Amino acid sequence: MNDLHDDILISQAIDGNATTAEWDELTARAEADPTIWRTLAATLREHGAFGRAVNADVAVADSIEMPAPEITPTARRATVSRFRGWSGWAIAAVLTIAWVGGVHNLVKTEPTMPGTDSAQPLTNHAGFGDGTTAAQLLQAYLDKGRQEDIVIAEVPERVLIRTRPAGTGGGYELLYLRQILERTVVPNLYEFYSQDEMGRPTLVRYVGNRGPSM
Amino acid sequence: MEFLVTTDPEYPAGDTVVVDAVNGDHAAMDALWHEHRRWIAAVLLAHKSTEDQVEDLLQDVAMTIVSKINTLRDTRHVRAWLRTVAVNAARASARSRRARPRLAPLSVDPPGPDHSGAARVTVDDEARHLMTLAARLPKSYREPLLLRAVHGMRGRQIAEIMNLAEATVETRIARGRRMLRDLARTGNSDDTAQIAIAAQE
Repeated sequence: MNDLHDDILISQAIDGNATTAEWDELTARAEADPTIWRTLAATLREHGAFGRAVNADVAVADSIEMPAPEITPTARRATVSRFRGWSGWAIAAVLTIAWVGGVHNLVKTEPTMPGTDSAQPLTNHAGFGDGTTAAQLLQAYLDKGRQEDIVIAEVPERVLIRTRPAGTGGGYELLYLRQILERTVVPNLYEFYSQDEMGRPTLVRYVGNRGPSM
Repeated sequence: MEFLVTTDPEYPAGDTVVVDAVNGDHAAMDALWHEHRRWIAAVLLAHKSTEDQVEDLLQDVAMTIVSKINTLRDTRHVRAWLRTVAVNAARASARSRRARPRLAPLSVDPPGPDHSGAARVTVDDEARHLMTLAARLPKSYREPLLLRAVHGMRGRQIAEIMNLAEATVETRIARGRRMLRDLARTGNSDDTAQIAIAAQE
C-alpha cells in the first residue's frame, strides 16, 4: 500500500469506477487513516470545480462549425490556380485594349475605394490620372477615409515580418505590415452569455460597457 | 454514447461516419466534428500557449480535418488522428507566434471588455483558480485530467485518444489529481520534484 495506490482508489471512487472490492479496500484504509476521507472529500470537491471550469471552456467548441468545402485551403488554392491560369490572358487582353483604345479608357475601370459611392472611381476622387502610384492611391484612401470618418489614423510603426537580400541589384527586401486603424458603427452587439439546458451557448444583446470612445 | 453531442448530427453515429468522412462526404465530416469537438477543445487547452485562443485553434483543426481526413489510413484510429491534428495545430500556432514579431502597440484607448471567449461561461472563482493551477501541471498529466473532466469521457476513450494503455491513463489521472490538490492546498506543490520527474516521463 502506498500513496499512489490510495490516489488511484480515490480517483476510481470519484469517477464512479471503483469496484466493490476497491470500495471495501478504501473503506478499510480510511478507517485506519481518517485523513483518507478528508482527501476523498477534497478531491471530490476539486473534481467538481475543475469539471465546471473545463466544461465552460470547451463549450466554445459548440460555436465552431466545420468549414464549407469551398473555403478550405485546398479549394482556395484551386481558385487561386484557376485565377492564375486566366490572369495572364486577362493582362494581355487589357494591355491590348490599352494599346488600341488609349490609356484614358482605363480610368473608368479602376477600382473604387471601400466605403465610397461605387459609381465614382477612386481616381476621380483623388484627381489622379493614369500615372497614379499605389502609394498615391493609398494616401487618397486615407484622406478620403478620414473625411468620411472611416479611417482614424495609420499607425506610424511598421511591423517588420521578414528581411532577405534582394535578388538583383543588391540591397534588402523587407516584408512589413502597415496598420490602419478604422472605425465602423453597428446597430447592435451580441455576446455569448450563458448556456441553455442543453449546454448550448445562448446569444444575448450586449448592453454592458460599450467601450471607450476614441 | 458517452460524448455530449450538442447538435443533432445529420448523420447516424457509427463507424460508417468515419469511412464516409474519409471519402469526402461533408455531412459525415460534420457529424464527426459535432461528436468530437468538445474533447478536441480539451486537448487544445492542454497544449496551447497561453496567448492562443481555443476558438482560433479549433477553426484550424476543423480546416485541417476537411482538407486532410482523406489521409487517415485506419479509420479505427480516428480519435488518435484527431488528437494529433489538435496537438499539431497548438504547436504550430505557438511556433509561429514565437517567430512573429510582436505588433507595435497602438497608442489608442484600450479596447472594451474581452469577448473573445465567445461561448465562455462564467464559472466560480474556485473553478477558475483550479484551471489556472492545472496549467502548471506537466502536459502528460494535464491532458488526461482535462479529458476526464469533459462530460462522460471514460478511461478507455482517453486511452484511445492518447494512444496509451488504460491503466496508464488512470494512473496519470490519479497522480494529476494529487498534484492539483497539493497545488490548491499550498499554492506551491510540495510535489515540485514529483512534477519535474513526471515532466520527464
